[in-house]
Amino acid sequence: MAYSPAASTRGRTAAGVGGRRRRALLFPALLAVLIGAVLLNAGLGAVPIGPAQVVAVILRHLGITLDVPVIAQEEAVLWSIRLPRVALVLLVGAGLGTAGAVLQGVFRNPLADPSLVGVSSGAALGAIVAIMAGVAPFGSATLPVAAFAGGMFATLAVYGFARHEGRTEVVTLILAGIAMNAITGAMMGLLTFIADDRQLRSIVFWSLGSAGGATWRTVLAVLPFISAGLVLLPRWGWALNLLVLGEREARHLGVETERTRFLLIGLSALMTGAAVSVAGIVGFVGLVVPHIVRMLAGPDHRTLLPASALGGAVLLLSADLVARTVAIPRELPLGVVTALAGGPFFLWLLHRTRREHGGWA
Amino acid sequence: MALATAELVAKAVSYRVGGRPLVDHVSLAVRSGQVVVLIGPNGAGKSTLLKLLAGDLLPSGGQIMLNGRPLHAYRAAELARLRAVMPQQTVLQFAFTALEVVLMGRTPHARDGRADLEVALAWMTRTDTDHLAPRTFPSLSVGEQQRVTLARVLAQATPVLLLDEPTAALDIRHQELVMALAREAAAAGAAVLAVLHDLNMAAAYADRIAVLSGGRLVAEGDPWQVLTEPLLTTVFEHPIAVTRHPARDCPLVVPLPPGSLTAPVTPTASEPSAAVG
Repeated sequence: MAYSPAASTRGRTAAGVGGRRRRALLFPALLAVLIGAVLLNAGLGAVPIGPAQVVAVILRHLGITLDVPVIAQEEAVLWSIRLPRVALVLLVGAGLGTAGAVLQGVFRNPLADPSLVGVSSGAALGAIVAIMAGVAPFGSATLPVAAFAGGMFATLAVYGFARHEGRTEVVTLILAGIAMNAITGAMMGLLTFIADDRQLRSIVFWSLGSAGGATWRTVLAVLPFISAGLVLLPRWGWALNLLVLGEREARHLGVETERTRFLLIGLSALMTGAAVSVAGIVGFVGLVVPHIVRMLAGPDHRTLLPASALGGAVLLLSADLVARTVAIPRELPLGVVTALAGGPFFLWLLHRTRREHGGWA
Repeated sequence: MALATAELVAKAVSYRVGGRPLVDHVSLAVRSGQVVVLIGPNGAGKSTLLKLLAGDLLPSGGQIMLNGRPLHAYRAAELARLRAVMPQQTVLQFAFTALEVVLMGRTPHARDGRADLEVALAWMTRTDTDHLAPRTFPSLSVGEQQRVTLARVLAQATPVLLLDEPTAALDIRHQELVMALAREAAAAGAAVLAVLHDLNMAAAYADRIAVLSGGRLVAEGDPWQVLTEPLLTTVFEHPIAVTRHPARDCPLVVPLPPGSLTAPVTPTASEPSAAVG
């Protein structure tokens, strides 16, 4: 330390760290809710299965045998239908929640969302092009691969466009994202217009989002991409805090801003592209979850990122439960459920923030 | 506590945008123990020069050296332990508390939760912001935000301090408080460079004053050398009188009504200016 402030701190030990106790409770509470959501999602449906049976089946596949009787039919339903779906929804929700929190921090904009930088719409376009082309060079993985490629391409195009002389202007980046969304939206509209009935059904089903196609194979396909983000991104929590202070300020405090931002956006795009490629477009998770976490535990990204992952998983599991069970035997599109619940909630959030802090900007 | 001595030197630095020079062949040095104040009219290039010295912009010509090494050769993390920058304004979109913002100033150093908290709170006390610690930064007034930001910059504990209009939004008491803290940092061994609009603040607290006009350094020296009627009247394009401060051993700068052709005779005739530009 250099020159010292010298004055006494007047016995103030932890003023302003009052959120600490709340933060300490947050993770156990979120974990408990998540476990509850997993048991509910696995247990409810046309064949109800008790939580003990669910736990027994999961543990048995991990090599631990419990003394709980499980009917063969229950086991089959759980292992080949419900559990892969639960795992997929959990991963997608956690990925979207984390990506939303990261992008909001990187863009210093609480309204940022994976769809903002063009990831979601680029992925959508990629998938629709694959549906229309009717060729499957990667077999059943064609659609996810095309969606993923489209998402990455859109993100890199937007990012490359916003870079100038080694710097990235955030406003240019956001505007480029809007332009990219307009272009991909128009192309999707055009393709929808010329699609035949069968293609149209596939496009609609996919672009409204669904976890209905979940198998252990799809889970394993996205697992590396999403878990890479879940594990790596929280390490940059401190840098995100400084980036929120301002790009120059962050550099003055030791963040290599260009490299860090590229890495953060890249990992977020990877997660989102992976999520969209298996579950279609599922909006509002990345937008709403970080807001709720900030209301509960403050804006510190070191807490926000892991908490948004857990919160996103809980939210998407709840949405999928509704999508699956509210109109049995039919299923609602997952994206419709999240938007129907998330939209009004977000309006309420805007209203509340406006009243309490005079808005965001 | 003693600091490593620091020296930030601009050698014939220029910065051009679209062929137009915003900073034109400026040479300036800030060394440990000194408070150097940059003054000049709007658009003179003060903030651009500060950004060049902070490493935010790369010079189009000339070179900037920190402790004998080119500024751009430092990594961001290294630089963050050597120099801190106080921006004109910080806009935060997220509800970090004032204390959390000050604690961000500690990030360049090895983390030590307890010690960091103590340093942060102590600087908040010195900047008269300790009572604001639990409040959220966006809910503070601009003047309060500016003092919290100063606390953050001081908590960074660097031997070079660059302050961009640190007193702009402050009342008189807090202007004096902030400049006294800058002086104190210099006395402890820091090299301090501040951009100021208030010429009397510059007169009272600067060891040396550098005058920028049209991107060029037109004068540099101690307050008595630089703050002269002819120089200020020319540079600011407004009639200005200079007299002696009633209580301080420094010049007192007074703007005259527009159109005053000759400044009234003042008891202490200014000493000749040391123009270098």
